[in-house]
Amino acid sequence: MSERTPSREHWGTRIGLVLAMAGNAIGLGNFLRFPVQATQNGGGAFMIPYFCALLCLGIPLMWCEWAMGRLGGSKGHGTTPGIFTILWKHPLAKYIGLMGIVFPLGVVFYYNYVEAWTLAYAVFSATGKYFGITDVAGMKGFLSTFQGAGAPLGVSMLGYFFFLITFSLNVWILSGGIAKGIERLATIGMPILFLFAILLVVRVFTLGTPDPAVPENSVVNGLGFIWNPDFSQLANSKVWLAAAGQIFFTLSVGFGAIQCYASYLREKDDVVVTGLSTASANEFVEVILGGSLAIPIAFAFFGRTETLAIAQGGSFNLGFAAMPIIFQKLAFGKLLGTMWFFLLFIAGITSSVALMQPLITFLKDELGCTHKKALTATAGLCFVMAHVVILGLHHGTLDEIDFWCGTFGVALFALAETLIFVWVFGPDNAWAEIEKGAQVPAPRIFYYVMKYVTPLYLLVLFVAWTWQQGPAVLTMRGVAPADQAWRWGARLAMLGVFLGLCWLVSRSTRLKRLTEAKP
Amino acid sequence: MTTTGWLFLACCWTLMTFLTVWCFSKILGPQRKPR
Repeated sequence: MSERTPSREHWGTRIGLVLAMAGNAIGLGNFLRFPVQATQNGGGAFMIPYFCALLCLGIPLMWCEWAMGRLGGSKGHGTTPGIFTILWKHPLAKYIGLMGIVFPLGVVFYYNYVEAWTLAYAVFSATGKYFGITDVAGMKGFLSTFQGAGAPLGVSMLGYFFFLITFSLNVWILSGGIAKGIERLATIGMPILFLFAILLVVRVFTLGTPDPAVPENSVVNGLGFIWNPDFSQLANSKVWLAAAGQIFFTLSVGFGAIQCYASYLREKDDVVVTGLSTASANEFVEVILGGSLAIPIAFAFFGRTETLAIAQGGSFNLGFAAMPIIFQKLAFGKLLGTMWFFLLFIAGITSSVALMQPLITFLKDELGCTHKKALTATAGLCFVMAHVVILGLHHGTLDEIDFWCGTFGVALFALAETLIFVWVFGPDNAWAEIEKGAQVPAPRIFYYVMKYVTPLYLLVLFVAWTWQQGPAVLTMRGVAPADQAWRWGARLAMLGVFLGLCWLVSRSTRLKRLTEAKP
Repeated sequence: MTTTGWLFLACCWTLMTFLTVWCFSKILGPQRKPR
Protein backbone atom coordinates (compact mmCIF):
# COMPACT_ATOMS: atom_id res chain seq x y z
CA MET A 1 0.00 0.00 0.00
CA SER A 2 1.20 3.45 -0.68
CA GLU A 3 2.25 5.65 2.21
CA ARG A 4 -1.19 7.24 2.61
CA THR A 5 -0.29 9.55 5.44
CA PRO A 6 3.03 11.23 4.81
CA SER A 7 2.08 13.95 7.28
CA ARG A 8 1.31 11.45 10.03
CA GLU A 9 2.13 12.88 13.45
CA HIS A 10 5.24 11.68 15.34
CA TRP A 11 6.47 11.81 18.91
CA GLY A 12 8.52 14.93 19.60
CA THR A 13 11.30 13.35 21.66
CA ARG A 14 12.36 9.85 22.63
CA ILE A 15 12.12 10.56 26.36
CA GLY A 16 8.65 12.05 25.79
CA LEU A 17 7.61 8.82 24.10
CA VAL A 18 9.00 6.67 26.94
CA LEU A 19 7.25 8.81 29.56
CA ALA A 20 3.98 8.69 27.62
CA MET A 21 4.23 4.90 27.26
CA ALA A 22 5.21 4.60 30.93
CA GLY A 23 2.26 6.84 31.79
CA ASN A 24 0.02 4.45 29.88
CA ALA A 25 1.38 1.52 31.88
CA ILE A 26 1.61 3.15 35.31
CA GLY A 27 -1.86 3.30 36.75
CA LEU A 28 -3.73 2.93 40.02
CA GLY A 29 -2.75 -0.75 40.03
CA ASN A 30 0.93 0.04 40.61
CA PHE A 31 0.17 1.69 43.94
CA LEU A 32 -2.93 -0.21 45.06
CA ARG A 33 -3.24 -3.58 43.29
CA PHE A 34 0.39 -4.74 43.44
CA PRO A 35 0.94 -4.50 47.22
CA VAL A 36 -2.39 -6.20 47.88
CA GLN A 37 -1.57 -9.02 45.43
CA ALA A 38 1.90 -9.51 46.91
CA THR A 39 0.53 -9.62 50.45
CA GLN A 40 -2.16 -12.15 49.57
CA ASN A 41 0.06 -14.42 47.45
CA GLY A 42 3.13 -15.42 49.40
CA GLY A 43 4.89 -12.10 50.09
CA GLY A 44 8.47 -12.15 48.75
CA ALA A 45 7.86 -15.57 47.20
CA PHE A 46 5.25 -13.87 44.94
CA MET A 47 8.16 -12.14 43.20
CA ILE A 48 9.39 -15.46 41.75
CA PRO A 49 6.30 -16.10 39.57
CA TYR A 50 6.07 -12.33 39.08
CA PHE A 51 9.52 -12.13 37.44
CA CYS A 52 8.87 -15.34 35.46
CA ALA A 53 5.73 -13.70 34.06
CA LEU A 54 7.63 -10.49 33.35
CA LEU A 55 10.23 -12.38 31.29
CA CYS A 56 7.92 -14.85 29.56
CA LEU A 57 4.81 -12.73 29.11
CA GLY A 58 5.31 -9.04 29.79
CA ILE A 59 8.50 -8.16 27.93
CA PRO A 60 7.85 -10.34 24.81
CA LEU A 61 4.28 -9.00 24.51
CA MET A 62 5.54 -5.48 24.99
CA TRP A 63 8.06 -5.86 22.15
CA CYS A 64 5.45 -7.51 19.90
CA GLU A 65 2.98 -4.67 20.45
CA TRP A 66 5.61 -1.98 19.88
CA ALA A 67 6.81 -3.65 16.68
CA MET A 68 3.26 -4.18 15.40
CA GLY A 69 2.40 -0.55 16.07
CA ARG A 70 5.50 0.79 14.33
CA LEU A 71 4.85 -1.46 11.32
CA GLY A 72 1.22 -0.35 11.12
CA GLY A 73 2.13 3.33 11.48
CA SER A 74 4.63 3.09 8.64
CA LYS A 75 1.76 1.99 6.40
CA GLY A 76 -0.74 4.50 7.73
CA HIS A 77 -2.58 2.19 10.13
CA GLY A 78 -2.40 3.17 13.79
CA THR A 79 -4.89 0.69 15.23
CA THR A 80 -5.22 -3.07 15.23
CA PRO A 81 -7.95 -3.45 12.56
CA GLY A 82 -5.49 -2.01 10.06
CA ILE A 83 -2.40 -3.59 11.61
CA PHE A 84 -3.93 -7.08 11.61
CA THR A 85 -4.90 -6.59 7.95
CA ILE A 86 -1.22 -6.00 7.18
CA LEU A 87 -0.18 -9.08 9.15
CA TRP A 88 -2.92 -11.41 7.93
CA LYS A 89 -4.58 -10.96 4.55
CA HIS A 90 -7.93 -12.33 5.61
CA PRO A 91 -11.29 -10.53 5.76
CA LEU A 92 -11.66 -11.56 9.41
CA ALA A 93 -8.41 -9.88 10.48
CA LYS A 94 -9.86 -6.38 10.69
CA TYR A 95 -12.81 -7.56 12.78
CA ILE A 96 -10.53 -9.40 15.20
CA GLY A 97 -8.45 -6.23 15.33
CA LEU A 98 -11.54 -4.33 16.48
CA MET A 99 -10.97 -5.83 19.92
CA GLY A 100 -8.00 -3.44 20.22
CA ILE A 101 -10.42 -0.52 20.07
CA VAL A 102 -13.50 -1.88 21.86
CA PHE A 103 -11.76 -3.19 25.00
CA PRO A 104 -9.74 -0.05 25.83
CA LEU A 105 -12.94 1.94 25.22
CA GLY A 106 -14.87 -0.33 27.59
CA VAL A 107 -12.27 0.22 30.27
CA VAL A 108 -12.23 3.99 29.80
CA PHE A 109 -16.02 4.09 30.22
CA TYR A 110 -15.47 3.42 33.92
CA TYR A 111 -11.85 4.48 34.33
CA ASN A 112 -12.64 8.19 33.91
CA TYR A 113 -15.15 7.98 36.75
CA VAL A 114 -12.69 6.21 39.09
CA GLU A 115 -10.04 8.76 38.10
CA ALA A 116 -12.46 11.50 39.14
CA TRP A 117 -12.61 10.03 42.65
CA THR A 118 -8.83 10.41 43.01
CA LEU A 119 -9.03 14.07 41.94
CA ALA A 120 -11.91 14.65 44.33
CA TYR A 121 -10.01 13.03 47.21
CA ALA A 122 -6.94 15.16 46.43
CA VAL A 123 -9.16 18.23 46.88
CA PHE A 124 -10.85 16.72 49.97
CA SER A 125 -7.39 16.10 51.48
CA ALA A 126 -6.29 19.67 50.82
CA THR A 127 -9.46 21.10 52.35
CA GLY A 128 -9.67 18.52 55.15
CA LYS A 129 -13.20 17.48 54.12
CA TYR A 130 -12.91 13.95 55.47
CA PHE A 131 -10.84 14.94 58.51
CA GLY A 132 -12.68 13.92 61.65
CA ILE A 133 -13.70 10.50 60.32
CA THR A 134 -11.30 8.24 62.16
CA ASP A 135 -12.33 4.65 61.43
CA VAL A 136 -12.40 2.49 58.29
CA ALA A 137 -16.16 1.93 58.46
CA GLY A 138 -16.71 5.70 58.61
CA MET A 139 -14.44 6.30 55.63
CA LYS A 140 -16.23 3.59 53.66
CA GLY A 141 -19.49 5.40 54.41
CA PHE A 142 -17.95 8.69 53.28
CA LEU A 143 -16.82 7.09 49.98
CA SER A 144 -20.19 5.47 49.49
CA THR A 145 -22.02 8.77 50.00
CA PHE A 146 -19.61 10.48 47.62
CA GLN A 147 -20.35 7.77 45.06
CA GLY A 148 -24.04 8.57 45.35
CA ALA A 149 -25.43 5.85 47.64
CA GLY A 150 -28.91 6.98 48.66
CA ALA A 151 -28.85 10.01 46.33
CA PRO A 152 -31.47 10.54 43.60
CA LEU A 153 -30.52 8.38 40.55
CA GLY A 154 -27.63 6.99 42.65
CA VAL A 155 -25.39 9.91 41.68
CA SER A 156 -23.98 12.57 43.98
CA MET A 157 -23.70 16.07 42.52
CA LEU A 158 -20.17 16.38 43.89
CA GLY A 159 -19.07 13.08 42.33
CA TYR A 160 -20.63 14.09 39.01
CA PHE A 161 -18.98 17.51 39.18
CA PHE A 162 -15.52 15.90 39.54
CA PHE A 163 -16.33 13.48 36.72
CA LEU A 164 -17.12 16.44 34.44
CA ILE A 165 -13.83 18.13 35.35
CA THR A 166 -11.82 14.93 34.82
CA PHE A 167 -13.52 14.13 31.56
CA SER A 168 -13.02 17.69 30.25
CA LEU A 169 -9.32 17.49 31.17
CA ASN A 170 -8.97 14.24 29.22
CA VAL A 171 -10.63 15.77 26.16
CA TRP A 172 -8.53 18.94 26.43
CA ILE A 173 -5.30 16.91 26.54
CA LEU A 174 -6.36 14.76 23.61
CA SER A 175 -7.26 17.86 21.60
CA GLY A 176 -3.54 18.68 21.51
CA GLY A 177 -2.80 15.47 19.62
CA ILE A 178 0.20 13.23 20.20
CA ALA A 179 3.16 15.58 20.66
CA LYS A 180 1.37 18.65 22.02
CA GLY A 181 -1.22 16.81 24.07
CA ILE A 182 -0.27 13.34 25.30
CA GLU A 183 3.50 13.84 25.22
CA ARG A 184 3.27 17.19 27.00
CA LEU A 185 1.06 15.67 29.71
CA ALA A 186 3.61 12.88 30.22
CA THR A 187 6.63 15.15 30.35
CA ILE A 188 4.96 17.29 33.01
CA GLY A 189 2.93 14.65 34.84
CA MET A 190 5.37 11.77 35.11
CA PRO A 191 8.17 13.72 36.88
CA ILE A 192 5.54 15.01 39.35
CA LEU A 193 4.34 11.44 39.90
CA PHE A 194 7.90 10.22 40.53
CA LEU A 195 8.64 13.15 42.85
CA PHE A 196 5.46 12.73 44.91
CA ALA A 197 5.96 8.97 45.16
CA ILE A 198 9.58 9.33 46.31
CA LEU A 199 8.66 12.02 48.88
CA LEU A 200 5.87 9.82 50.25
CA VAL A 201 8.20 6.80 50.44
CA VAL A 202 10.75 8.90 52.36
CA ARG A 203 7.99 9.97 54.77
CA VAL A 204 6.87 6.35 55.24
CA PHE A 205 10.42 5.15 55.89
CA THR A 206 11.03 7.85 58.50
CA LEU A 207 7.87 6.94 60.42
CA GLY A 208 9.50 4.12 62.39
CA THR A 209 7.02 2.96 65.02
CA PRO A 210 4.09 5.43 65.22
CA ASP A 211 2.81 3.99 68.51
CA PRO A 212 5.73 3.14 70.87
CA ALA A 213 3.29 1.19 73.04
CA VAL A 214 2.87 -1.32 70.17
CA PRO A 215 6.45 -1.78 68.89
CA GLU A 216 5.54 -4.62 66.51
CA ASN A 217 3.45 -2.20 64.44
CA SER A 218 6.35 -0.65 62.56
CA VAL A 219 7.16 0.25 58.98
CA VAL A 220 9.94 -2.37 58.89
CA ASN A 221 7.46 -5.07 59.90
CA GLY A 222 5.08 -3.63 57.30
CA LEU A 223 7.75 -4.17 54.66
CA GLY A 224 8.15 -7.69 56.05
CA PHE A 225 4.41 -8.16 55.53
CA ILE A 226 5.02 -7.71 51.79
CA TRP A 227 8.50 -9.19 51.44
CA ASN A 228 8.85 -12.10 53.89
CA PRO A 229 8.57 -15.11 51.56
CA ASP A 230 6.12 -17.93 52.14
CA PHE A 231 7.59 -20.56 49.82
CA SER A 232 4.72 -22.99 50.39
CA GLN A 233 2.59 -20.64 48.24
CA LEU A 234 4.69 -21.47 45.17
CA ALA A 235 2.94 -24.82 44.94
CA ASN A 236 -0.38 -23.00 44.59
CA SER A 237 -1.36 -22.43 40.93
CA LYS A 238 -3.50 -19.45 41.94
CA VAL A 239 -0.35 -17.58 43.01
CA TRP A 240 1.21 -18.10 39.57
CA LEU A 241 -2.01 -16.96 37.92
CA ALA A 242 -2.20 -13.90 40.15
CA ALA A 243 1.41 -12.98 39.31
CA ALA A 244 0.83 -13.38 35.57
CA GLY A 245 -2.36 -11.32 35.87
CA GLN A 246 -0.54 -8.56 37.73
CA ILE A 247 2.19 -8.36 35.06
CA PHE A 248 -0.47 -8.33 32.38
CA PHE A 249 -2.43 -5.47 33.92
CA THR A 250 0.51 -3.43 35.12
CA LEU A 251 2.19 -3.29 31.71
CA SER A 252 -1.16 -2.52 30.03
CA VAL A 253 -0.51 -5.14 27.37
CA GLY A 254 -3.47 -6.59 25.47
CA PHE A 255 -5.35 -3.28 25.30
CA GLY A 256 -4.39 -2.02 21.84
CA ALA A 257 -3.13 1.25 23.30
CA ILE A 258 0.58 0.40 22.97
CA GLN A 259 0.21 -0.36 19.25
CA CYS A 260 -1.60 2.92 18.79
CA TYR A 261 1.13 4.95 20.56
CA ALA A 262 3.88 2.99 18.75
CA SER A 263 2.29 3.75 15.38
CA TYR A 264 3.51 7.32 15.83
CA LEU A 265 7.15 6.12 15.84
CA ARG A 266 9.30 6.65 12.78
CA GLU A 267 9.91 3.57 10.65
CA LYS A 268 13.48 2.97 11.84
CA ASP A 269 13.06 4.01 15.47
CA ASP A 270 14.27 1.51 18.05
CA VAL A 271 11.64 -0.52 19.89
CA VAL A 272 13.86 -2.89 21.89
CA VAL A 273 15.46 -0.45 24.33
CA THR A 274 12.57 2.00 24.24
CA GLY A 275 10.03 -0.73 24.99
CA LEU A 276 12.20 -2.16 27.74
CA SER A 277 12.58 1.31 29.26
CA THR A 278 8.82 1.60 29.53
CA ALA A 279 8.58 -1.78 31.22
CA SER A 280 11.44 -1.05 33.61
CA ALA A 281 10.06 2.39 34.57
CA ASN A 282 6.72 0.75 35.29
CA GLU A 283 8.36 -2.00 37.35
CA PHE A 284 10.45 0.53 39.28
CA VAL A 285 7.33 2.44 40.24
CA GLU A 286 5.43 -0.74 41.09
CA VAL A 287 7.99 -2.86 42.95
CA ILE A 288 10.02 -0.15 44.68
CA LEU A 289 7.63 2.77 45.15
CA GLY A 290 4.23 1.04 45.06
CA GLY A 291 5.41 -1.71 47.40
CA SER A 292 6.73 0.82 49.93
CA LEU A 293 3.67 2.99 50.42
CA ALA A 294 0.17 1.79 51.21
CA ILE A 295 0.78 -1.59 52.89
CA PRO A 296 3.80 -0.68 55.07
CA ILE A 297 2.11 2.49 56.33
CA ALA A 298 -1.19 0.68 56.91
CA PHE A 299 0.67 -2.00 58.87
CA ALA A 300 2.45 0.60 61.01
CA PHE A 301 -0.85 2.23 61.99
CA PHE A 302 -3.35 -0.63 61.98
CA GLY A 303 -1.22 -3.72 62.73
CA ARG A 304 -1.17 -7.11 61.05
CA THR A 305 -4.75 -8.29 61.57
CA GLU A 306 -6.51 -5.12 60.48
CA THR A 307 -4.15 -4.58 57.51
CA LEU A 308 -4.90 -8.11 56.34
CA ALA A 309 -8.64 -7.39 56.59
CA ILE A 310 -8.18 -4.09 54.70
CA ALA A 311 -6.13 -5.81 51.97
CA GLN A 312 -8.73 -8.55 51.66
CA GLY A 313 -11.35 -5.82 51.24
CA GLY A 314 -9.61 -4.87 48.00
CA SER A 315 -7.46 -2.11 46.54
CA PHE A 316 -10.07 0.64 46.85
CA ASN A 317 -10.53 -0.17 50.50
CA LEU A 318 -6.82 0.35 51.01
CA GLY A 319 -6.55 3.53 48.94
CA PHE A 320 -9.78 5.34 49.74
CA ALA A 321 -10.69 4.09 53.23
CA ALA A 322 -7.44 3.23 55.08
CA MET A 323 -5.07 5.87 53.71
CA PRO A 324 -7.26 8.91 54.53
CA ILE A 325 -7.38 7.79 58.16
CA ILE A 326 -3.60 7.55 58.30
CA PHE A 327 -3.11 11.02 56.81
CA GLN A 328 -5.15 12.45 59.66
CA LYS A 329 -2.65 11.03 62.14
CA LEU A 330 0.42 12.49 60.43
CA ALA A 331 1.95 15.95 60.65
CA PHE A 332 1.25 17.76 57.34
CA GLY A 333 -1.43 15.13 56.75
CA LYS A 334 -3.40 17.40 54.42
CA LEU A 335 -0.35 17.91 52.23
CA LEU A 336 0.60 14.22 52.22
CA GLY A 337 -2.98 13.20 51.46
CA THR A 338 -3.17 15.66 48.59
CA MET A 339 0.10 14.31 47.20
CA TRP A 340 -1.09 10.69 47.47
CA PHE A 341 -4.38 11.24 45.69
CA PHE A 342 -2.93 13.63 43.11
CA LEU A 343 -0.28 11.02 42.37
CA LEU A 344 -3.06 8.48 41.77
CA PHE A 345 -4.85 11.03 39.58
CA ILE A 346 -1.76 11.52 37.38
CA ALA A 347 -1.32 7.75 37.17
CA GLY A 348 -4.97 7.54 36.10
CA ILE A 349 -5.13 10.35 33.55
CA THR A 350 -1.96 9.26 31.72
CA SER A 351 -3.66 5.88 31.30
CA SER A 352 -7.14 7.11 30.36
CA VAL A 353 -5.92 9.30 27.49
CA ALA A 354 -4.06 6.24 26.15
CA LEU A 355 -7.26 4.21 26.28
CA MET A 356 -9.26 6.83 24.33
CA GLN A 357 -6.60 7.40 21.68
CA PRO A 358 -7.14 4.17 19.64
CA LEU A 359 -10.66 5.18 18.54
CA ILE A 360 -9.44 8.68 17.62
CA THR A 361 -6.59 7.20 15.57
CA PHE A 362 -8.95 4.66 13.95
CA LEU A 363 -11.39 7.36 12.84
CA LYS A 364 -8.54 9.44 11.43
CA ASP A 365 -6.60 6.65 9.73
CA GLU A 366 -9.38 4.43 8.43
CA LEU A 367 -12.21 6.88 7.83
CA GLY A 368 -10.29 10.03 6.99
CA CYS A 369 -11.82 12.10 9.80
CA THR A 370 -10.13 15.29 10.93
CA HIS A 371 -8.64 15.28 14.45
CA LYS A 372 -11.43 17.52 15.70
CA LYS A 373 -14.15 15.29 14.27
CA ALA A 374 -12.52 12.10 15.55
CA LEU A 375 -12.06 13.57 19.02
CA THR A 376 -15.64 14.86 19.15
CA ALA A 377 -17.03 11.46 18.17
CA THR A 378 -14.80 9.60 20.66
CA ALA A 379 -15.51 12.02 23.49
CA GLY A 380 -19.23 11.92 22.76
CA LEU A 381 -19.32 8.12 22.85
CA CYS A 382 -17.21 7.93 26.02
CA PHE A 383 -19.34 10.57 27.74
CA VAL A 384 -22.61 8.82 26.96
CA MET A 385 -21.28 5.36 27.87
CA ALA A 386 -19.73 6.61 31.12
CA HIS A 387 -23.30 7.15 32.30
CA VAL A 388 -23.97 3.42 32.09
CA VAL A 389 -21.32 3.13 34.82
CA ILE A 390 -22.22 6.27 36.76
CA LEU A 391 -25.95 5.54 36.95
CA GLY A 392 -25.47 1.80 37.42
CA LEU A 393 -22.53 1.89 39.81
CA HIS A 394 -24.56 0.55 42.72
CA HIS A 395 -26.07 -2.13 40.44
CA GLY A 396 -22.74 -3.62 39.32
CA THR A 397 -22.36 -2.17 35.81
CA LEU A 398 -18.72 -1.26 36.50
CA ASP A 399 -17.89 -4.85 37.51
CA GLU A 400 -19.75 -6.18 34.47
CA ILE A 401 -17.86 -4.03 31.97
CA ASP A 402 -14.60 -4.61 33.84
CA PHE A 403 -14.93 -8.37 33.49
CA TRP A 404 -15.80 -8.39 29.78
CA CYS A 405 -13.34 -5.71 28.70
CA GLY A 406 -10.67 -5.56 31.42
CA THR A 407 -10.23 -9.29 32.13
CA PHE A 408 -11.78 -11.62 29.54
CA GLY A 409 -11.29 -9.19 26.66
CA VAL A 410 -7.65 -8.26 27.16
CA ALA A 411 -6.58 -11.88 27.64
CA LEU A 412 -8.46 -12.90 24.47
CA PHE A 413 -7.05 -10.01 22.49
CA ALA A 414 -3.46 -10.62 23.69
CA LEU A 415 -3.77 -14.28 22.67
CA ALA A 416 -5.15 -13.31 19.24
CA GLU A 417 -2.49 -10.69 18.58
CA THR A 418 0.35 -13.02 19.59
CA LEU A 419 -0.94 -15.78 17.33
CA ILE A 420 -1.43 -13.39 14.41
CA PHE A 421 1.91 -11.62 14.82
CA VAL A 422 4.12 -14.59 15.67
CA TRP A 423 2.43 -17.53 13.98
CA VAL A 424 0.49 -16.06 11.04
CA PHE A 425 2.86 -13.24 10.10
CA GLY A 426 5.70 -15.67 10.84
CA PRO A 427 8.16 -15.87 13.72
CA ASP A 428 11.10 -14.77 11.58
CA ASN A 429 9.19 -11.81 10.16
CA ALA A 430 8.02 -10.87 13.65
CA TRP A 431 11.54 -11.11 15.06
CA ALA A 432 12.97 -9.07 12.16
CA GLU A 433 10.33 -6.42 12.83
CA ILE A 434 11.33 -6.24 16.52
CA GLU A 435 15.03 -6.10 15.66
CA LYS A 436 14.64 -3.41 13.00
CA GLY A 437 16.50 -0.27 14.09
CA ALA A 438 17.32 -1.81 17.48
CA GLN A 439 19.82 0.21 19.50
CA VAL A 440 20.79 -2.98 21.34
CA PRO A 441 19.87 -6.42 19.96
CA ALA A 442 17.14 -8.30 21.80
CA PRO A 443 18.49 -11.54 23.33
CA ARG A 444 17.80 -14.39 20.89
CA ILE A 445 16.20 -16.51 23.60
CA PHE A 446 13.18 -14.21 23.43
CA TYR A 447 12.57 -15.44 19.87
CA TYR A 448 11.74 -18.88 21.30
CA VAL A 449 9.94 -17.44 24.32
CA MET A 450 7.77 -15.34 22.02
CA LYS A 451 7.12 -18.29 19.73
CA TYR A 452 6.22 -20.95 22.28
CA VAL A 453 6.06 -19.77 25.88
CA THR A 454 4.12 -16.50 25.55
CA PRO A 455 1.16 -17.97 23.58
CA LEU A 456 1.00 -20.90 25.99
CA TYR A 457 1.12 -18.60 29.03
CA LEU A 458 -1.67 -16.51 27.51
CA LEU A 459 -3.77 -19.54 26.68
CA VAL A 460 -3.50 -20.79 30.27
CA LEU A 461 -4.38 -17.31 31.61
CA PHE A 462 -7.36 -16.94 29.29
CA VAL A 463 -8.76 -20.38 30.05
CA ALA A 464 -8.16 -20.01 33.80
CA TRP A 465 -9.80 -16.57 34.07
CA THR A 466 -12.74 -17.60 31.94
CA TRP A 467 -13.12 -20.80 33.96
CA GLN A 468 -12.80 -19.07 37.33
CA GLN A 469 -15.04 -16.06 36.72
CA GLY A 470 -16.89 -16.69 33.46
CA PRO A 471 -19.74 -18.99 34.60
CA ALA A 472 -20.50 -16.83 37.64
CA VAL A 473 -20.52 -13.61 35.58
CA LEU A 474 -22.39 -15.14 32.66
CA THR A 475 -25.17 -16.59 34.79
CA MET A 476 -25.08 -13.59 37.17
CA ARG A 477 -24.64 -15.88 40.15
CA GLY A 478 -25.38 -14.03 43.39
CA VAL A 479 -26.61 -10.91 41.58
CA ALA A 480 -29.80 -9.43 43.01
CA PRO A 481 -32.72 -9.66 40.54
CA ALA A 482 -33.06 -5.86 40.58
CA ASP A 483 -29.46 -5.50 39.39
CA GLN A 484 -29.67 -8.07 36.61
CA ALA A 485 -31.47 -5.68 34.24
CA TRP A 486 -28.69 -3.12 34.80
CA ARG A 487 -26.01 -5.69 34.01
CA TRP A 488 -27.85 -6.79 30.90
CA GLY A 489 -28.10 -3.14 29.93
CA ALA A 490 -24.33 -2.79 30.26
CA ARG A 491 -23.80 -5.89 28.12
CA LEU A 492 -26.16 -4.68 25.42
CA ALA A 493 -24.57 -1.23 25.44
CA MET A 494 -21.12 -2.79 24.92
CA LEU A 495 -22.53 -5.03 22.18
CA GLY A 496 -23.99 -1.95 20.54
CA VAL A 497 -20.58 -0.23 20.61
CA PHE A 498 -18.98 -3.32 19.07
CA LEU A 499 -21.60 -3.59 16.30
CA GLY A 500 -21.31 0.13 15.58
CA LEU A 501 -17.57 -0.22 15.17
CA CYS A 502 -18.06 -3.29 12.94
CA TRP A 503 -20.20 -1.08 10.71
CA LEU A 504 -17.43 1.55 10.62
CA VAL A 505 -14.90 -1.15 9.67
CA SER A 506 -17.07 -2.34 6.82
CA ARG A 507 -17.57 1.29 5.74
CA SER A 508 -13.81 1.78 5.81
CA THR A 509 -13.42 -1.36 3.70
CA ARG A 510 -15.87 0.08 1.17
CA LEU A 511 -13.78 3.24 1.14
CA LYS A 512 -10.81 0.99 0.23
CA ARG A 513 -8.90 2.08 3.29
CA LEU A 514 -8.70 -1.31 4.98
CA THR A 515 -8.24 -3.54 1.96
CA GLU A 516 -5.13 -2.26 0.29
CA ALA A 517 -2.61 -3.25 2.92
CA LYS A 518 0.16 -5.56 1.79
CA PRO A 519 2.43 -7.60 4.03
CA MET B 1 11.19 -8.54 58.63
CA THR B 2 13.19 -11.73 58.25
CA THR B 3 16.63 -12.04 56.66
CA THR B 4 15.15 -13.73 53.59
CA GLY B 5 12.62 -10.90 53.40
CA TRP B 6 15.44 -8.36 53.33
CA LEU B 7 17.26 -10.51 50.76
CA PHE B 8 14.21 -10.59 48.46
CA LEU B 9 13.71 -6.86 48.86
CA ALA B 10 17.38 -6.10 48.16
CA CYS B 11 17.54 -8.36 45.08
CA CYS B 12 14.32 -7.01 43.54
CA TRP B 13 15.16 -3.38 44.23
CA THR B 14 18.70 -3.76 42.86
CA LEU B 15 17.45 -5.51 39.73
CA MET B 16 14.74 -2.94 39.06
CA THR B 17 17.05 0.00 39.73
CA PHE B 18 19.81 -1.42 37.54
CA LEU B 19 17.43 -2.14 34.66
CA THR B 20 15.83 1.29 34.85
CA VAL B 21 19.15 3.15 35.08
CA TRP B 22 20.62 1.10 32.20
CA CYS B 23 17.58 1.70 29.98
CA PHE B 24 17.39 5.40 30.69
CA SER B 25 21.15 5.83 30.18
CA LYS B 26 20.60 4.40 26.69
CA ILE B 27 17.60 6.63 26.08
CA LEU B 28 19.16 9.83 27.37
CA GLY B 29 22.77 9.08 26.38
CA PRO B 30 24.40 9.85 23.05
CA GLN B 31 22.47 8.17 20.25
CA ARG B 32 24.34 5.53 18.31
CA LYS B 33 23.33 4.87 14.76
CA PRO B 34 20.74 2.06 14.76
CA ARG B 35 22.08 -1.29 13.67
